[in-house]
Amino acid sequence: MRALRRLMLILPVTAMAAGCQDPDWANRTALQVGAPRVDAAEIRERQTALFATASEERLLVEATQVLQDLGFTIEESAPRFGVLAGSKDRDATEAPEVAGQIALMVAFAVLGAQYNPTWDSDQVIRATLSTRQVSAQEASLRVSFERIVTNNRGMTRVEELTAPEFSTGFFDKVRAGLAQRT
Amino acid sequence: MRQVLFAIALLGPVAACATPGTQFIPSQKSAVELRAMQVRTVPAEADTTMRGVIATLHDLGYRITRVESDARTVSATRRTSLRMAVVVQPRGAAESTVRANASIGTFARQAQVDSPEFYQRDFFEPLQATMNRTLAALPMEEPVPEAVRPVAELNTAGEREAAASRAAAPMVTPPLRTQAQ
Repeated sequence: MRALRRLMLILPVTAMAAGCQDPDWANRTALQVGAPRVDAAEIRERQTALFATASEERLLVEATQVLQDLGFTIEESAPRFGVLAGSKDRDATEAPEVAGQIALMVAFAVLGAQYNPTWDSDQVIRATLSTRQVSAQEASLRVSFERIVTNNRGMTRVEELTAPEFSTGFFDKVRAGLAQRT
Repeated sequence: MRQVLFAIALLGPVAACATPGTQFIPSQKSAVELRAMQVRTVPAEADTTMRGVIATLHDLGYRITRVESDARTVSATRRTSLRMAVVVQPRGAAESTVRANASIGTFARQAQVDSPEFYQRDFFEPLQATMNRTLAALPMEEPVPEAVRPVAELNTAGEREAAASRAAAPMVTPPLRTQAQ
């Protein structure tokens, strides 16, 4: 894991040198980053649930409420197309990680070498929701969460939070809210 | 973890060329070439197509960044580097025209994607599958929707500061979200 982290820091540097010389980097990179996910169907299934409601709009209102209760700020809402997006900021600094990095820096300094300590500093969690009226009595809701982490050097990484518990926990809260207001 | 490593490695080339302030690098390809790769017709009315576009983007792993309902325009972001803006326009009562426009890079530097393979494989084929309709090329004599530049997502303190200072400064270039390519 530590070797992989080191690689993560080295690879961009080597790629940077090639970047300015490759006139087709944008297309090559887009083809890699934008490729359809092989497990798209499974992810969709995990992130989607059906709700017994005759109103897609009501489902969106309830989902908005749950997102806000969870501390998200609503950044986009388009009820006409069943879309909702929100985000929340969180400090990502973990004391053991910082202490470990400082210890490494000191150890390197003792050996006469230089080491630039790196740790996660802040994160944004983003939620994207889309709804669809499936029938007169049912509407579907899809929710996805991603964590965008920035380190103390300003580099970011994205983690897709596709584990079932993220969406099922959200769906449970939406269901409870809908039941409460029925 | 491998995905994270891969994404960071890919971003390196972009960061290397970055200069202060947002820089947009338009495609050098002709308008005809761009139109051919970015535009398709869909045998469905515009609002249905718009919903299909949003479902497809969500499926592909994009985060929805901005939706302009009246203009039927959606901007989305994948990882932090790839941005896509899609505009849907009615084409008669039961058909619509879709134009996708992607850019890739960092917050500071974005280059327009002009790979026909990217638009076909990574957007129109999934859209066709989601909507279960056959997409077709727009006849050359028909007017084409203008490409929309994707809206930037603000994910770091630095990006927020840059956006705030740009908003406070006098406008010297057209806003990102409205300028056509």
